[in-house]
Amino acid sequence: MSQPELSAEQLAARMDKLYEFDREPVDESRLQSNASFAGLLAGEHVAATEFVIGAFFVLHGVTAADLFGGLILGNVLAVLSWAFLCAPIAVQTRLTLYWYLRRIAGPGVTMIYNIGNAFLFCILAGAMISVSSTALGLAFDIPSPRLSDIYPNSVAWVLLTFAIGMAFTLVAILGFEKVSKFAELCSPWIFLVFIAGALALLPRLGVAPDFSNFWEVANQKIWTGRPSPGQEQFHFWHIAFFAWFANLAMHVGLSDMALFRYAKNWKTGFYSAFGMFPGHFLAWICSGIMVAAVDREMNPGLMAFTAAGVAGAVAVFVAGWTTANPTLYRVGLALQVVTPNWPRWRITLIAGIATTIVACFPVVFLKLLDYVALYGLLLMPIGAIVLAEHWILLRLGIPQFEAERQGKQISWVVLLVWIGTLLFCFALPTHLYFRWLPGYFVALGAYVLLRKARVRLA
Amino acid sequence: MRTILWILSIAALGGCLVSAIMAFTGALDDAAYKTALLVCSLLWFTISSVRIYLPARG
Repeated sequence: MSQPELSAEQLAARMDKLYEFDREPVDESRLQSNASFAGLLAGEHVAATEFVIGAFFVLHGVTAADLFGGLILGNVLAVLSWAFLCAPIAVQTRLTLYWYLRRIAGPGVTMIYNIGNAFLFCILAGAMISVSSTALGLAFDIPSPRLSDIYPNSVAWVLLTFAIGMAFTLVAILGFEKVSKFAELCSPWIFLVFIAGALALLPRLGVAPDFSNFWEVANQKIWTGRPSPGQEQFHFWHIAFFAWFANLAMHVGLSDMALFRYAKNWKTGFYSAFGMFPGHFLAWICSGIMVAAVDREMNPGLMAFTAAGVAGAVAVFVAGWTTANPTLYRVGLALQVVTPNWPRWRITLIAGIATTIVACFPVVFLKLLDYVALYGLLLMPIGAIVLAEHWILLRLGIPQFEAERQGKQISWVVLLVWIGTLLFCFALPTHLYFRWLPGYFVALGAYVLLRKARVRLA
Repeated sequence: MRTILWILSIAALGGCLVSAIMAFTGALDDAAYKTALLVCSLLWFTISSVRIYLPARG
């Protein structure tokens, strides 16, 4: 029997129902202290991806000075983006991006944004499953894919990845809350394994117990300035931009409004430094040291096992699991809206199978850096549009929230600016990492101009 | 009870770090360091799991 087709209005109504619990602005009594933000943010940015990203910087032949300088600048810019772009809007509106964007762009655009986000999350979860497979593969002597591999390298790898993906999916269906609680708890231990592993490997690379020759070893044996075969050479700006846009969707893209709406004031945005510097500075440096100690073999499981033994391999597995699980849960939740009355378990199962199939292709984690860049880029124009709507329109005498006032399902101006900005970014003759920044200003300018033109025409 | 478990879990995490520092300074060989790290990690997992699944006092 076929299901009746849902209209755009019905789909939007179902999406609203799903997010009903956070429809109202956060009440004063539920605001959180800065200390709880510090703890939460510190735990949020140590994930399985950190094992891959820091290692890739080594393979891309960055020098030690470029790495340290680039990471400091990029992470400072990321913290400033949270503090000056995301947190002020979150604190003033006390709303999630979902509900604020709904007022600006209409429920149709919000739905497109959520579903697009779900697909991007699927690929990210796939990468996490692949990373976990490299750890468990060691126990079964299954060779991990090589750096140049796009397709699975063996049947055993596919079977292992599939088994892990299905296990993660099952847990996402059965017990999300406990896993999410456990994930929060695991972060300090995973972070410690990064530090322990790197520290224990330093003597093998020739670092003296008093650290006196660290910089010399760092330049000669870790961040040597020579890329691995087939890898593009990275310099200071590649690293700085990567560290800045690694969480682009969250800060510039404003999706962390969901978090910062609980902050007492906008300055809490600076507490993102508690997440950035341990996770996106120290952990990336540690994974770089680990990959250098295993002759630059991009195999997170092997790296961690060499550095920290069984505990290291377990850390990689757990890091992949605790990141993939909530991601799969969110994908299920977002896609639930467009499926014909399916229960959440069924859509999570289907999303899990699709994600697992993606995970079997090693290209998803071997091209993780490019994927992270693309992920932020695709969602960035929405951040620019919301920023323009919040800060600029009223100052220019343009009324806010056009979609809400006129009861529109879709704001075509928002959709046009979003798509147009992406076309502009993809046409730019520059490295992928540097495209989002001009794109951001194009989105900002185009949205203001188009809204002003509409007001004049009206 | 929760406070005691929290202190014990922090001690287990501290053990992980101390074992790595000892390996770095040469006070522990590779095998001993990895065993110590594993033991401290297991302790941390056990204590933390008990702590999060312990029913809240009503």
